[in-house]
Amino acid sequence: MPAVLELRNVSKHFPGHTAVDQVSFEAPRGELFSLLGPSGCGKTTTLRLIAGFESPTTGEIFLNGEPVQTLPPYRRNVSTVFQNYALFPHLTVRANIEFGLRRGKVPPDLAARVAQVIELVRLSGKESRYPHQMSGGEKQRAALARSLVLAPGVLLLDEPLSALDPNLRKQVRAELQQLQRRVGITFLFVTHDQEEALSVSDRIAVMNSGRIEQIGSPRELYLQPRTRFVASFLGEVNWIDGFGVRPESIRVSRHRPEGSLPTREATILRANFLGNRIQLETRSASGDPVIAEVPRLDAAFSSGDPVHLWWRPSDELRFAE
Amino acid sequence: MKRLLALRWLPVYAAGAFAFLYLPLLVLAAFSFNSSKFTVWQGFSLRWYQAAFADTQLSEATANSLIIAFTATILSTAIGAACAYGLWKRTNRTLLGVVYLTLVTPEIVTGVSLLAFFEAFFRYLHARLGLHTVILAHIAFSVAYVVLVVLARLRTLDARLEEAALDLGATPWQAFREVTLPSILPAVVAAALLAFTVSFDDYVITSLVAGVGSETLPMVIYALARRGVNPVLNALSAMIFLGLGALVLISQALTRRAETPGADTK
Amino acid sequence: MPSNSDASSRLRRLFLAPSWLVLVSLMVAPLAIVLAYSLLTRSPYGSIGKPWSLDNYSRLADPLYLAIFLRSVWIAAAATLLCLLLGFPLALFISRSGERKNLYLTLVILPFWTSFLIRTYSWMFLLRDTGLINSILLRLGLIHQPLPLLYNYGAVLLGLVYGYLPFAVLPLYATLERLDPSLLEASADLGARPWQTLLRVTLPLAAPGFLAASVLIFIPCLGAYLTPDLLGGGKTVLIGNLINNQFTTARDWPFGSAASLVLMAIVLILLLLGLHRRGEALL
Repeated sequence: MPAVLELRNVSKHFPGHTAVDQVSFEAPRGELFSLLGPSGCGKTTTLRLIAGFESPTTGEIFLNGEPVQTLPPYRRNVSTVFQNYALFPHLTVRANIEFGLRRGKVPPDLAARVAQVIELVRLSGKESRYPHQMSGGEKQRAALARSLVLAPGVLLLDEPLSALDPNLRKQVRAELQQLQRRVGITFLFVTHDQEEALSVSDRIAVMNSGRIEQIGSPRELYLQPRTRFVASFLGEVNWIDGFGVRPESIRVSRHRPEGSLPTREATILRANFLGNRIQLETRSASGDPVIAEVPRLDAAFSSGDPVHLWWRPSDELRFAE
Repeated sequence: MKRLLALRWLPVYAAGAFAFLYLPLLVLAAFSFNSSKFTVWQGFSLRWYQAAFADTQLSEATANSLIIAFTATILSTAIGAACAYGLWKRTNRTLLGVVYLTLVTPEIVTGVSLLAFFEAFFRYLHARLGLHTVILAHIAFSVAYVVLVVLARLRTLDARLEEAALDLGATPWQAFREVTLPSILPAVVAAALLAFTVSFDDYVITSLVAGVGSETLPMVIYALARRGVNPVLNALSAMIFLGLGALVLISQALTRRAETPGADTK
Repeated sequence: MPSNSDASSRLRRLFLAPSWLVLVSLMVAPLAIVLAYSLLTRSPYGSIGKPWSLDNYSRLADPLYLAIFLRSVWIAAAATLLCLLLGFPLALFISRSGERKNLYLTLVILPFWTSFLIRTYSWMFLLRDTGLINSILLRLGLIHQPLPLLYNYGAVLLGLVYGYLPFAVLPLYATLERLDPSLLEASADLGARPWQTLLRVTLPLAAPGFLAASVLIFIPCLGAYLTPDLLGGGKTVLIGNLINNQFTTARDWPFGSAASLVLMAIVLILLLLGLHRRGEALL
């Protein structure tokens, strides 16, 4: 399947620093692709390069096989959902959604298309509201509708959940994923929240200091991270003798396990009650701190207890560096 | 000392301060209805208003002032608002510096330098001072007010709105016209009203660059004031203060409305 | 490589072009001409020409003109001080007025923007020999001769304070408004009486407002022409009158130009010393 969006060796230098450094990736039609990384890693700049708000210093950007890096934003078939939604405050929801359709020749089926997308994002009955009369979730859906009505090749979403109330985020996240499946448009989702990225994405590119560290499915990235950065950005890691083991992969028992599994002797320092599980802070015989998370039912440890830590060899995260 | 500084006297003081600001104007307005020519109250009369309206010199000067203020306001608002928009996303320090320079240059210096400038050029162009030189001078000093008022509003505006417009297919001009301009329009109108009052009231610069036959209302008022007691002047003052005061109030209301939350999504 | 923002920056340049044209041709060029004139010489017939010289500037060192400059500085300083003294309590009052703040602020701003000329004239109406104050005092029999209230430096000072009081209130209000109320509560909590809090906490923290207000008032007062001319009559001479006379009655433009530039220099030096971008507080 041909890629809808492709970046080839794209770099963006600002005076004094390189925001995006030799970034390349492809996103096929219908994929939900995420750019994940800490703030300042270049993910938002990458999105702005694709949207056309910035131009790359070097490199090429292709949309449906056509190079677009020299086109202004209004000539690119991509659309952006902004972090703060950037709904036009002086226009109603309907006028906001119609804005893009009214640019050139007004399409004859404008009303039908607008009605369809309003239905799609469940804003029926709220078409005549102004942005300041709407809740955060409604604003987000209005912003989505405004972009989706143009049937863009790629929809760019810049931290679209960060402006929402934390207890609303999970719900909206699921809705967003369902919506993407239904419209079948490629979504490029920018976020710093690894849980968010892992739960919604088909594939994720993890970025650090302007570079892509690794691209893969959520499962690949979490279970087979290629760099220490990816491993530790996606979750907790214990560093033991040069390889990593995630806390939930570690088993804890009073007696030495049967067989030839990798094992370390350790002492419990603290047991932290986390509700659904217990976090055990331990110190191994070699002096390294090791954290293990075990089901609540397993755990009857208290500080000072000597224990054995063990795990499956396939759970070891090993890196070339 | 302690007693004097007691803060409960603050409202009393404030009342006194507002009286200081407004009493001279109110007294002037009151005496514009006095039937006597002297500063002794004799009875209510509108004779000085009738005299003011009957005076052809005054009506000519008023016409001149209105022509100048309208023309200068329209041009300086267009130029100043465009300038503010141009400075919004990327500041040009040199241009902004010149804007501030026009604001801090003492009026008398602006006036004599414009006089010197016009005379120097008109010697070659065989042109003369007149209404057009006054209009140019007024544009020169009111552009800066417009720039600052509109720029202050733009700085509270979300720059992403224009990006969103471009992203949805609008050209830069369409983005300005359909997204930014509607948001800043109240501020632009407020700036225009201020430019109008500043232009309508100016004496110092105007008197230096106005030619023969292009007397403005402030020039006539000034001449009358220097000559002595003139109850027509009281009537005129009351009317001007009321008229310009209304414009300032509208301007203030427009500026405030733009500041209230809800008018903008943040 | 063509930039994506080509059309945007073209629009931007287009929008800035008229203001460049207006400001360069009607502000910068005129000042440049005045600079040139100040270095030229006036012929006995009033025309301006070579030789180039600094004579116009050295003439300003004459005790007569030096006195005018010093007097102007003195009056502007006195007006500034009075505006600050009178303006601070008013600003304090407004900053503590809750919902009425905007109303009071508008009341302060209204006369300032409306008409400087008419406000000055209103004091002529009050202070004249046949003005309201003298009429009342004569009628009450408190005086038998009208008091010489108008046409002196006192009247000029009064006019300047009246004219520029809003310039004190607005920046002072702006700083008081930004003051963290918990600082005042902390002061009270630590045992300070209200007036002690005012002196030890509020006043020092309002220092930037005082600085901004001082510069904003001092500069226009120093170059004032209208107020000294109307309220001082022909009897008071300040820098503004000096410059105006050289360009009108005396027709000595080179000397008037030199005086203008010295005034500009004082203004710019003060600005560089005291103020960066606080002029915005006024608008």
